[in-house]
Amino acid sequence: MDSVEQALLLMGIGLPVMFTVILLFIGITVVLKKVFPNE
Amino acid sequence: MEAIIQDLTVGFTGLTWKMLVMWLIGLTLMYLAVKKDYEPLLLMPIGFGAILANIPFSSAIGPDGPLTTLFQAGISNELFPVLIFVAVGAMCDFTPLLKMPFMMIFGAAAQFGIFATIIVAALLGFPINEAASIGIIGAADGPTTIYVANKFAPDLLGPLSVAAYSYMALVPIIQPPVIRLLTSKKERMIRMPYNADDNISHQVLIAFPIMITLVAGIIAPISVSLVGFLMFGNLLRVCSGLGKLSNAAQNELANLVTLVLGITIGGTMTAEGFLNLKTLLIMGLGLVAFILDTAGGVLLAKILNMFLKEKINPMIGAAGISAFPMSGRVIAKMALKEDKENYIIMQAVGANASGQIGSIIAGGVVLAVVGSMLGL
Repeated sequence: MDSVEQALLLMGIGLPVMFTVILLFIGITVVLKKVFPNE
Repeated sequence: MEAIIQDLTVGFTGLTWKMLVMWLIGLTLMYLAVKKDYEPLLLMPIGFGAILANIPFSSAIGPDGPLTTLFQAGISNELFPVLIFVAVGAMCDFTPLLKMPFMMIFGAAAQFGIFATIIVAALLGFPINEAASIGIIGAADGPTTIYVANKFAPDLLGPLSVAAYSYMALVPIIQPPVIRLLTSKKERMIRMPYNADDNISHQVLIAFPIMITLVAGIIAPISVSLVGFLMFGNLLRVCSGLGKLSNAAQNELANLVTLVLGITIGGTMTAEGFLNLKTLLIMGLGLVAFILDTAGGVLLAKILNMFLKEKINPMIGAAGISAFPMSGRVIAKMALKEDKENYIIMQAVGANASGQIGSIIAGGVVLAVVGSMLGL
């Protein structure tokens, strides 16, 4: 695999992983706010 | 006698035109730091370090030089960037982000420039280890750039750091034209509601950094140094009774590590390693990374607006880069310029704080995937 193919593969894996992790963080935050509401 | 004269004139005889050019580069960085206030805390030590490294037979570098010792003590083992993460975490207030967790999506979108620039760098002939280190300039986050570059392309540490910190300082100049090009005036005037009364409980402020560290660490163990130390710094900030440690992290630790980090990076900028086509390409690609980051954030906001009832001001997307809080301020200022009563500072700062998280996650992903490709 040459470096261009490696870079394309990196983007193909990297961007979906990034968005998945961030969506997971959003979910965690929403759950935390529900579990520990501000009183 | 001849030997004594030779020893006394070695500085003159060893001087090359390339060293003189490096002095000029060092002085320019110092000028930008002092006169133009461009990242002065870093560009000043980097500039002076570059001069120290380019004096003929400089005792500051070489096997026993103090800059070499500092490099081995804090950069080759990634200690300095990691300590900077503790300081950054202690400075970072995640409250606006926790009030609007949805803003985190822009922290991911605005990392698009990293991956796109890696492809451009690869197309220009850089091997994947160097392309990845160049693309990571788009993290708009100095310590992440240094951390990744040191793993994959330690020889390029000097130009990569200079590019990262220079463009971070130039965010107010780089981002507005890109945003204006991609948005209409009507879009830039979109107002966004903000509920100031929606306070975040103390438990959430403490649980958030812990949960993020655990989840990110399990998904990408290689990112633990990045995420973990940033979140540790943030824990110092939010836990009551740790005010002294938080202040120490934000002030003494940040200042001391920045000082030695800057001059050590400058010490790597020897003429032979810096004055070449690669450096010019790195500077150009760094700019490309920042532009594509900005575009990625804005375009995602525009795409989301196609489906959302309550529209997002697409400029907020551009604040998803990690240059905190500068990018958030730039966006808020642009919104006020279009409409004097459009206050989106909290939304912009929320997206900007998510950029801090997004950039280290991107760094972790690049480390994991490229590391695997290289068999590291």
